[in-house]
Amino acid sequence: MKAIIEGSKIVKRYDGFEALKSVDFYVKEGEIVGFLGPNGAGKTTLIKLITCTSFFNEGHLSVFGFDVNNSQSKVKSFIGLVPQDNNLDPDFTVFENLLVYSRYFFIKKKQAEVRIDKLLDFVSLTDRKNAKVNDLSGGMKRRLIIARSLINNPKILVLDEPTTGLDPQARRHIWELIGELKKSGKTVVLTTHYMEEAEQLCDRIYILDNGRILVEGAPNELINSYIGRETVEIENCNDIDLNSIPGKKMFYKDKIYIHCQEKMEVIQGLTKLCGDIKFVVRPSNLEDLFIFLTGRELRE
Amino acid sequence: MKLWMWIPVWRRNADVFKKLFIVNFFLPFLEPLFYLFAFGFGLGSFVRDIEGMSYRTFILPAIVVMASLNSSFFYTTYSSFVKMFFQKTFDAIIATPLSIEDVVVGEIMWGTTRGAISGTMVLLLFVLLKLITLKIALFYLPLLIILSFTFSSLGMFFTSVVNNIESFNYPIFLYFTPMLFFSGTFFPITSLPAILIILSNIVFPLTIMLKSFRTFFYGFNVSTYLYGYLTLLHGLFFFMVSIKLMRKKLFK
Repeated sequence: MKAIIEGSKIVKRYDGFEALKSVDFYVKEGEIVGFLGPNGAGKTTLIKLITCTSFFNEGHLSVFGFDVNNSQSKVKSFIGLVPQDNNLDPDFTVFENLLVYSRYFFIKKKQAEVRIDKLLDFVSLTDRKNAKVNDLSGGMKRRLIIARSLINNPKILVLDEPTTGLDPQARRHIWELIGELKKSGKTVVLTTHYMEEAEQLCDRIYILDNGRILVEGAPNELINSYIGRETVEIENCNDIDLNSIPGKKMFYKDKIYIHCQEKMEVIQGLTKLCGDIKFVVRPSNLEDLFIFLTGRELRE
Repeated sequence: MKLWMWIPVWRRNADVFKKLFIVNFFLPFLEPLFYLFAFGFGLGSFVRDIEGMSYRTFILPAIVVMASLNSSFFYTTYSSFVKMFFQKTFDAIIATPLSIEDVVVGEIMWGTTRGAISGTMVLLLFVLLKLITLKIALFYLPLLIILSFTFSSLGMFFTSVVNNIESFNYPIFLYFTPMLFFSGTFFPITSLPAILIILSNIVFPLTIMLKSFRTFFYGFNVSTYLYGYLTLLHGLFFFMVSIKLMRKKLFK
């Protein structure tokens, strides 16, 4: 399938600070692509560029072949955005929020009303149709924003941290919705801090740090090729010399993580070195890869 | 940018206005009545006459003008700022085919509409109370719209330059409040020192506007009346500047 969003050598500066340093990426029709990275990596900046709510200093970015610099209004008509902040209109009810928003796309009232009923049903908010926005729970607000982002029947759905701050039930509900949207043929671009979310949803991910893309690919393939599919965790054994053990070792306080392709060699090596040592063996996950690539240091 | 793209923003604001009709419309409507009683009938009964007319007649235009002024200026300052800064409503709108320019124009146009509605209602009241003739009221109407546009644009200009809501105190206490007193609202500025008269004519569009309104009481003079329309230039200047500044502020 062809790429419908293409960015090449994008540089974005804020007052001399480089938020994006020559970023290349693409999104193909019908796939779910995730942008992952610590705070300040440049995820939201990238989202703003795709949705034409910000500009970049160098490079080229096109959506459906339209240059975003020349055809902002056109590009935005193809896109539905779920922003990081819940910027619903507190002066209006659930229904009115969607109706007022539909006017920004110049959708006729009759058509909008039909679409709103369908969307409210899709996000399970039909019975809250006339509720005030501020009376909704966090999960409901998020679902309403998803409904709002679909009001123009967009080809591309862009979600900036769609489940941040939600409880596990609400989060899973949103994952289901995103899955259904993919099935209906929509292309989805999202950012997230939740590795599980990216693993579950994304066909392809980009991991960013400090304004650069570190790796790109399918989550499982990336885990396999960068750290190996299995991880052995050991505790309280800082004094052991692990040089003879294969695999990539990550140290954190008194814990050691050994990422490897084949666990048997590691386990055998460990028992030979320290006798009956306690360890946990589990499949490597995206979080392991993420920490491996971006480190454990806190980001501001 | 297409010229009519701001209309959905204007409609959004009109919808909110209708929803909060009592708060937005009825309560502020009491203010001109208080002015009329306090100054027109209260203070006015102690003042013999001002420049050949009763004090009550003198301040009628001021009351009409202030209704428009408050309604438009405080809309594009506090209301627009809250929407931009706290509610992130502008961010939500610019993710649609509408641009920042559309949002800003929609806001200014609604501030203008709101100001025109407020002023017109006061005018209507004064006509019903037989304080102003219908003919004069009709001459006032276009001026009220221009005045509302001017102060709506000026308010948006301040919104585009302040960084927090408290900072509105600068334009309000250094510009707006002095204007309310020294532009010929409650007394003729002819009693002020010459330098202040000149200053008042230059920096306060209200001064020119009130002259235009009062020409009907002094003996009508066409050029004085038309002079009031010049404040449109003032409005257009701040209209253009605030659009430019808002793009700089929001499109980073």
